[in-house]
Amino acid sequence: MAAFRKNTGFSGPLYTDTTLEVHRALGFKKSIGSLFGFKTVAETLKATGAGILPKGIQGAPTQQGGALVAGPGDSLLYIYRSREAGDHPPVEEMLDAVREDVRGDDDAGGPE
Amino acid sequence: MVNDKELLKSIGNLSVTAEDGKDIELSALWESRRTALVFIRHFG
Repeated sequence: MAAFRKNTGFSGPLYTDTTLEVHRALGFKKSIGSLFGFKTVAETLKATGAGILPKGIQGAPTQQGGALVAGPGDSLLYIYRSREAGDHPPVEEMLDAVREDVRGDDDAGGPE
Repeated sequence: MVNDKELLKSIGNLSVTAEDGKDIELSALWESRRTALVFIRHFG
């Protein structure tokens, strides 16, 4: 995780799903085919061109990820399940979900 | 596959491991604030 922080400059909290139980429970895709889709090849070329080289995969390469926006409490505002490597949730969609007004919240207002 | 509305409730008691090695239940991550969880495939 330290290498990830160094490479990306990310400063938020990081966690690992060591048993992949969460990935399975969320229905994230796991298949060898998801490594070689057209989008994967395109994204790999794009990333390589930008100087982002794969530095060694830790964990199951066939496991895909995704993203969700939740809370406060058990309210799910957004979920995205990646179909193949390089398939990332659109950032604007996620930001819209993060900014969405919390219903019934007394101090709900604009984005922070 | 549970529908999305029940999804958080069904995964809330699963745990992930923080950088300090401590386990934390997922529901603690979104209990008190809006949270974006991004699942990346690898840290390398």
